[in-house]
Amino acid sequence: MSLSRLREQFRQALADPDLAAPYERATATARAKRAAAAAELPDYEEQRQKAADARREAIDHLDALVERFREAFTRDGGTVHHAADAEEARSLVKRILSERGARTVVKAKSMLSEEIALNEDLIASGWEVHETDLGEFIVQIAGQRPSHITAPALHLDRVDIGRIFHEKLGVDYTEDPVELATIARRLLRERFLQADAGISGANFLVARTGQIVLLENEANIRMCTTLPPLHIAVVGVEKVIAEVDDLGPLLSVIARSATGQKLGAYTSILGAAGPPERHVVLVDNGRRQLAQHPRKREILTCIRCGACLNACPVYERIGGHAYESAYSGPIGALLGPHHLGTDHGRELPFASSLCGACSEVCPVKIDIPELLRLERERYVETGGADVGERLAWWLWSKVMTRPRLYRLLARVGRGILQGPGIIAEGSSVLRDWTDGRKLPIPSSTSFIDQWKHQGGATTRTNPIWDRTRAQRALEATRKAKRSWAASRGRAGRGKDRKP
Amino acid sequence: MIELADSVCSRLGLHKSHREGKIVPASMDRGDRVRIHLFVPCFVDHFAPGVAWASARILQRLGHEVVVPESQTCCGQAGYNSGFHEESVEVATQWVRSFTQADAVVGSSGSCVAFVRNMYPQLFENTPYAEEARRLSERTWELSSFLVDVLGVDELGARYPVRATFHDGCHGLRQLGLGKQARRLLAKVEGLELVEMGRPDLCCGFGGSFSVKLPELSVSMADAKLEEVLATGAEVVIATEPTCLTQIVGRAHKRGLPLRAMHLAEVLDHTGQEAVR
Amino acid sequence: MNPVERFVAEMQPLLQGGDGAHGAIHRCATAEEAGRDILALAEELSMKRLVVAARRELDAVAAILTEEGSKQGLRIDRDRMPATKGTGLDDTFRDAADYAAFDAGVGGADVLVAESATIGLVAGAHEARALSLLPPVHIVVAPVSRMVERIHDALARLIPSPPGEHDPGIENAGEGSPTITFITGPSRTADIEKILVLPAHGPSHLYVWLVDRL
Ligand code: SF4
Repeated sequence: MSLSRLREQFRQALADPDLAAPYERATATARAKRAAAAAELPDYEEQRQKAADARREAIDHLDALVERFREAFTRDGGTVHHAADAEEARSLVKRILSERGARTVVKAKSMLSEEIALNEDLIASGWEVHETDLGEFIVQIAGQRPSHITAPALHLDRVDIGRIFHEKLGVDYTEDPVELATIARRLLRERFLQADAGISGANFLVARTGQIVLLENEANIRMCTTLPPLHIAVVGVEKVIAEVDDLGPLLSVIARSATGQKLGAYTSILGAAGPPERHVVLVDNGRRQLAQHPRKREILTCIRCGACLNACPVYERIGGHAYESAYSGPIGALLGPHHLGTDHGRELPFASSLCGACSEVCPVKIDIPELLRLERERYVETGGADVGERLAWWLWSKVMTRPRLYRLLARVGRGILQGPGIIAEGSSVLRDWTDGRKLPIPSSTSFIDQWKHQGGATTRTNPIWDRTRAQRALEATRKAKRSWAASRGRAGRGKDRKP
Repeated sequence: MIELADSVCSRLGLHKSHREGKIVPASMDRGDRVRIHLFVPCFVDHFAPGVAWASARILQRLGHEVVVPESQTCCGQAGYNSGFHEESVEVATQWVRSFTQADAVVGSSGSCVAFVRNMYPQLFENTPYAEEARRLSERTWELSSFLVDVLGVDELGARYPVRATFHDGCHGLRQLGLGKQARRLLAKVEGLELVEMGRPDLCCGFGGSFSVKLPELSVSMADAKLEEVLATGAEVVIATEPTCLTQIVGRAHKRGLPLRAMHLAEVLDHTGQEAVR
Repeated sequence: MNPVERFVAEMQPLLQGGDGAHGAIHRCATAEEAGRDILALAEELSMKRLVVAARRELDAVAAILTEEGSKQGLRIDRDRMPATKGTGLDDTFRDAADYAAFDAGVGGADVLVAESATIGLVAGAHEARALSLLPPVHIVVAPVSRMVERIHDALARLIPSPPGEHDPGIENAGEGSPTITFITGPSRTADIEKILVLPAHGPSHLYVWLVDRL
């Protein structure tokens, strides 16, 4: 995908006059609830910091903690599998299911399973797979994709859902949410009781105790992990945390951030008691590579609460599907270049005005705008930007460091912009601005020229001495980058590193 | 230079405050005269010189000396946010060189000031400019914050009878904690009726090169912002961010809406003598 | 507000669905009182079959329900603790799916969290996980002495470090790391236009009796 393709994708989303309304409504509700829930907890900021610290600690010691989890989970009678990528994760799941002769699967919502396209593969290979979270269930029977990481059917209103139920399930049309939920409940209750296996994700894996932590409101996860004789949790390796103690702060912030609840209706911490057969498939899929990066590893601390989506002014306009990735919104834009959830997400970091509304609410304090910017740098370094853009920024840097030349060119530029032809909004060079907005009219003289003309006090720099120093500064910057790139070359492996 | 700066700062009673990582003076007498280097963001220089004039006049009226480094060009943020790190360092170097003698720098854009304050120390790490960049980052203020937090002034004798609303520029708000200062200053403007938007902190959709890389999205965000502005019934939208204002009224005027935009400095500079622009 | 009052106050809004109340919270002095209240509730909701968890502390409640219940046509099934302690992981005494046949499951709580009105359950032979999951009504009879302020405290109580040293109040929790369910209100969903609907897949109603002396 190129930037122009991304632009086209977004243009299409924006062309749909009905698209934004459900997103606007739902995110507004979610924002208000989150803010109230955070304000209600007197030590919210302290809990948030502890949650952030716990997640950073975990990513810093990822391999050791994963090993610790494996030991503890095995001690309690479960089996841990490691999958390097999506393909391996899918075949591991299929193998476990086949070996037990399991044919029907009830599934709890899991973003990872979207990332690795598990459902499609299982269904194509002959398994019966039922999503059981109401939102996921709706999206699945409609043949669509989730539009939000915690509210999969956010893009649909009750009329849409009523129609989908009527068409796909053959029930009488109703748009009453209670009736719709009851229909799903009845249908899925049967499936829970008959399923051969339950597949879930996990919110956290506790390394010391080998426990799997799952959060929900509906009780479908409890069903999936209680009723079938086989439970498989398919989990990203980054979900591990060191200690039970870490759960206090994490649980204190996650539901508040996601739905504005103090805690969701059900928090399951699965230990030794449970279905006779328990498996965890730990999926890497680029995560360990990401954990090597001194700054970008922060992306892995995400606890998938969805607060950044609800806060994002971009997500609200274009919705979840326009990202064409399992993960949308600010966190989706960050994961895109790392092939988490999409294979064509290289440009997604540009889908942000860097306003920072996301990091303001992020319960684990991920500096999303700064990380998006780092991804943009990477995009430029690996040849993403076209020649025209590279030339433009090169020229910018040269002109802006030569004040006299800059002032001269600026004067010419202002003159051109004031010229009648261009200001008439017709210029193709400026079309990207002028198609939607009036062009600001420049002043005939700049402020600094006016100031000098009126005898205002000014200061100057010593140009000769400074230029040498500036050159040295630039070289230091380049050197720092080179040494970083070299160390990364040694540590890194896999698809992210270009020769 | 550094010695001089430190002595001036101690005279001002500057001390490090951990809150929002800012340097604010513990106390300052009204009589203290400060030499202020005016940071004129490139957009202001060429498109909105009135904003810089207003800023300069406000500071001068308070008895301070205003000087303008004529070699200043741009803070370098535009390239930085677009992924052009080196080019950005190069341009930022020009800024540091231009302001190197300054004890106090005041600028009329929250975003540009935020870039200097929060990014320069990291941008110049391990370069010959590290020390100066760090020092300058602590001595650069956005106008409203300089007036309220540093000088402790909120009454400027401005008079401007209009129904207005205030837009919080994202970087100023979230990186510098701006917003409350401007509202305090506006509350003292005679005749001005401030009507708050439901979402004063909603991004206007400008975002630098974002506005032309994904223009349809950027414009759609401007429309969402305009909804908020229009709902207040305000004739004028005020901000401390010149580029946000350009985006908001640029869109409003394209749609034929009669909205006006004013930088906070322009409002505060209105003493009632001049005609309303 | 003391923790018990806080628990009660926090619980109230959780029991409100768009279509009215989905349960209630009561405080009483003795198991007998709780037992009589449950009988009245069963009568009111025309319940036919209840299952009572194996926890010993529910013996008195189970006894009243069994004795008095037969008069109003109510059948009480009591789960039984396995003979040997430590072997009983949950769901060993009846098939998990069988709990779907009951009108209500009567269980206890291993911890109560005031801050969020959360009921903490350790899975084990003393209380099967399905008891609080499959019947449409979940009834909790718990001693107020199990009240803690925050989820942090609850975790520390239920998952001791080092592992293996369980709270003596938790009967027969089994070997290995405990399996814990924290319940905060009845099952719910807001997946349709963010409109709150009770229930989703789990219990529709939650009734809680906080008992001073159990
Ligand atoms: S980035 Fe932060 S706010 Fe966004 S989903 Fe992850 S944890 Fe939540």
